[in-house]
Amino acid sequence: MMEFVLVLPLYLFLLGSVFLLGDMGIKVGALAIGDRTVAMDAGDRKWKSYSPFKTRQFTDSGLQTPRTSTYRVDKDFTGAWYWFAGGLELFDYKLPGWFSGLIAYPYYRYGNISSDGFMRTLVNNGRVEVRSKKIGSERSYSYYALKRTELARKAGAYRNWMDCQIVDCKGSQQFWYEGVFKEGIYKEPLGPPNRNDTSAEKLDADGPRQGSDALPSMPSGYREYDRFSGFVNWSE
Amino acid sequence: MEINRNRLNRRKHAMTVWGIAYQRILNLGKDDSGVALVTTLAVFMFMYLMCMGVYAVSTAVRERIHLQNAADAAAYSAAVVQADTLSRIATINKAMSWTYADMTKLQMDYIVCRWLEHTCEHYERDMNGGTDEKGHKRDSLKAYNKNSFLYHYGIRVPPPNHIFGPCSRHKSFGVGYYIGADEISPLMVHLNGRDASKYRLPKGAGKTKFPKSSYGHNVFEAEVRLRLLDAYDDYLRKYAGQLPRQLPRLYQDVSDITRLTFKMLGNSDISFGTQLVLLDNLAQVRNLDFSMNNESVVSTMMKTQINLDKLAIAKMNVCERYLALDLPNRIDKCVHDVIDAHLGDTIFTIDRKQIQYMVDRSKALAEELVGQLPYAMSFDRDLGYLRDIFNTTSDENRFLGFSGHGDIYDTFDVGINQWFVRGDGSQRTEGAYGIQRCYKHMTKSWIAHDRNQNAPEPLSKYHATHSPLEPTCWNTKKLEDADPSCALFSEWMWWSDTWYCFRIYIPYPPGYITIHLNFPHYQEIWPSKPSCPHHSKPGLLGLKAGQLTTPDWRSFFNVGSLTSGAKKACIKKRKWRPPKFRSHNYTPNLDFGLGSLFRKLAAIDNLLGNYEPIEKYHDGCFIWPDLLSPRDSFFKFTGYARLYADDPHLYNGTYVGFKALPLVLDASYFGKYGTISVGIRRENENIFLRLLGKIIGVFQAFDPDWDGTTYSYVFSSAKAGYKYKSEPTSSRMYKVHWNPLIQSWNLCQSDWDAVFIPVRKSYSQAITDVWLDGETNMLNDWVANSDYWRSLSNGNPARNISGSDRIKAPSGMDGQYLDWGGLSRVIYH
Repeated sequence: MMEFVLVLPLYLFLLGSVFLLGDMGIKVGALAIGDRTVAMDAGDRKWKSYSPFKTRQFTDSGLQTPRTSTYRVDKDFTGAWYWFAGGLELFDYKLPGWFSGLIAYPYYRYGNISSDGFMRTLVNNGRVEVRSKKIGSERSYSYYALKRTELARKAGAYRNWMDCQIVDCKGSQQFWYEGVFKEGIYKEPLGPPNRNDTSAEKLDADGPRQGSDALPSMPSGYREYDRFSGFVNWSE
Repeated sequence: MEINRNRLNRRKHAMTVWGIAYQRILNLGKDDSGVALVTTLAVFMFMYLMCMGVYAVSTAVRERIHLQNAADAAAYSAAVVQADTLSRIATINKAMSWTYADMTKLQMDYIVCRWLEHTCEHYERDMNGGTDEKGHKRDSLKAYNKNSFLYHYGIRVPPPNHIFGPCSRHKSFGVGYYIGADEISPLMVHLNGRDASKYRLPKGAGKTKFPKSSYGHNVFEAEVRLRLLDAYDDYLRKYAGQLPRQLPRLYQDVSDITRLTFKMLGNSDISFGTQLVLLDNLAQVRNLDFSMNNESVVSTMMKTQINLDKLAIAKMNVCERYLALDLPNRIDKCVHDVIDAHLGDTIFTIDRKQIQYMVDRSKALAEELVGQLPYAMSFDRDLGYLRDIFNTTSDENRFLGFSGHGDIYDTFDVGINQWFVRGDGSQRTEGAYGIQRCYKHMTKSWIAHDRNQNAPEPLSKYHATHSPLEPTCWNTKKLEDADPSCALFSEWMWWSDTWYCFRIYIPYPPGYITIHLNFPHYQEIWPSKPSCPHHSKPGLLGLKAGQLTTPDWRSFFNVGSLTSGAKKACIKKRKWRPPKFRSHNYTPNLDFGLGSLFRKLAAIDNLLGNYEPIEKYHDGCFIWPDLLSPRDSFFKFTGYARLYADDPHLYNGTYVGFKALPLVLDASYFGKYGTISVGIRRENENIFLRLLGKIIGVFQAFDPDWDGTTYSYVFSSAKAGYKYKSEPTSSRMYKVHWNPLIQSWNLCQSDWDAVFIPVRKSYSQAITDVWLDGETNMLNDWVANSDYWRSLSNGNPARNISGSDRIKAPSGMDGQYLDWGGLSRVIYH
């Protein structure tokens, strides 16, 4: 019986570890969904703020809000119709008190170190950074996709040509050519930037970039040719 | 003692580890020793399984999410590429429509401009005696009447300054001869056969000879020039002086696109149809005529702009096809890249060859079948979902609507469908694919002549079913009632008398009196030359009917000579009456009888057929005494000149438009063939497999299929959706349904974006917000057909990868019938 009593803390530790593992697994799954959410949000040309889902998925459960790391890359498609959007959520998993107490109990009981101090020493300030990304991945994010850019929505963009200027815009020969055919088109592999890639635009927590201001210059003064009235009369 | 014996036996067995263990197990039930051991073993086994189970489940869930994320991202990204392509095509369609509308209007004005230029030029020649093709001034009515009655019979009449000949008064316009629409309408011509419509020629015509350098002072020239400048504004100010220099660059652009297209074709199994269209386009581009000879500044400007528009349309055609034909390649590439970026970088993962993916998408354009498919739902994967439009009124109206124009009558005004018709320059192409118009009057032989025998095979080879262009007849005012054979032509008349004026000296009172005698004698008003194609040989009695000898000239004498079958047909249809030329009444005439006889003989000579009409649809030259007219007219010669707008001297490649080939979407796009479905399957990462290398016994506990080679399958579907123009720009509503009633989006709406499609609806046809088909079991095909799957590592077909034969379909998918309920347990979406 005494043996059982002696190993009981070990049982509790193991059982707690199972619970902890399961809890972290749930969080990782949620982060995998969160990565997708923030990436799609970051690449959304009409995005104004993070989706409420991003915070609700954690705050509803009473846990802390995850930090977000999102990227938007258009280095290969400058001024283009679509860009590359990636996202990664980082969740500082705070170890539960019972767990840290259990781990640190011997040091706490017999030493001068507190459990929190021990955990700060053992792990990052008592927090374990959790991400859904694969171990060893060099990618800066775990989800990315092509998204339409803000540029495509603006009135002066090539693609919106004549949608709003249908009357006084003449089809220049070079206009559509430069704006449609020579515009970046998906041909080469999109290498996702790694951690050290500085060309990727890192979006801060304040919000995304509101589209590129580098719009192509819209030709003006091109007007439709109207038939000469005399020729029209003489055509009858 | 017994107890000691037992202890000795145990010691014997304890000689080995297994013996001790055996003894301990035998003794477990005899006392309470070892309770902790058993309990620990049991608890640890439970804990171990629980811990591993929790980890395996959470890993499986996470991997499932990652797989689904990768599939969704790949499908979505591919749909973005698809949306980008459709947006590009829509933008090009708009630009093409705009360019086509401008080009066509310019062509119509160019043809009228050229025709009027030459009308003025030849009218001026008539007034001034004319010049031949070498610029030499001809003898004419205004000149000495050397071809008089006596001249014909060897009696040479002295020059007019001598005794015989017209005085200065009677070799003047309005007295000795007269040119105009009729006797009361000088400086006017009839246009397009409308008797009541007479148009005053540009200022200066007929009075002074206006060289080409003075065309800027011409009334319509100046106005058109202003209109052009107004239309092109900055463009002309910037480029007017550089227009010719722009051409090489445009040619270079065409060759760039061509090179890209051929490069693409080199890696594609689509070759014949693409090259056909491409060569078709390039052949036409090659035949564009940039020569600026013998044209005014304005018509040269118009011609240059028309040719630039043609080049632009040629480039647009090629560009659209390049985008459409290359789209499947870009989709495949994008899917691979996105999946690889999601799943291909882990260092502890399984062999990447065991990550397999599939893309279910169809061709965007079946180029080899271009022009053969009507708009309809085409349930064949190889037909693609992009279609050509056709040379019909409805399609042309639709095409013009791409750039916001109205219908053809609103856009092009009078003349469209009358003399500027659907054709390729050699024949009518009503209903053929592509939008193309041309001046209708040309015949095949003229086209061949114009292209100097170097032209490629005529397009008639591909449009043998279409009728040739029809001959010319007459215009009417109402567009709806336009005679299908009407065309542009100008006509005017001239008259002449031969005057012999004698000056007699009278002694008292001293002075001269002049006696003016009019000989209503046949006279060769326009001296013929031996090279005249109309009358290269003398007719009866050696008489020659007179006409201008320049090859581009048609004239015939008098209005009674109606030989054209088309004109007669029109008369029968009461759509035209010959203009009534009345005799003028201010010129005294004397009939000497004999002259009248010779006139009749000359007329008979012509009627006997001693002339050779150079064209089937043009009248030959005639001389015909108007025996039924009043007497005054009987003593005069009348001539009747006609100039067609498609005279070979005027005709060039600018009279034929370039075929615009915009692509639009077929209804099948909003069904099976527009959807991009992406699937990924990957071997499950069983933690025990990672630890042990082989899963046996109890370690199979977390392997769903219990065979160690379990694959997880995920699928996702997406396609590009469009937005109605009526939707606000802030709207996120993108349609993925075919709406046959509202076609304004197809394909001129450039606002496209990717839209996820439920996998179970990926093969369903969506029309007007309704899914026509139910759920289909395409998943069975995807899973069971190994031809779909490719390795992520090298793109090789999965069936060539060792071990792929062990891949099994997930539970619920191994039968013929797909159980969506059962499938939902293994496929997450």
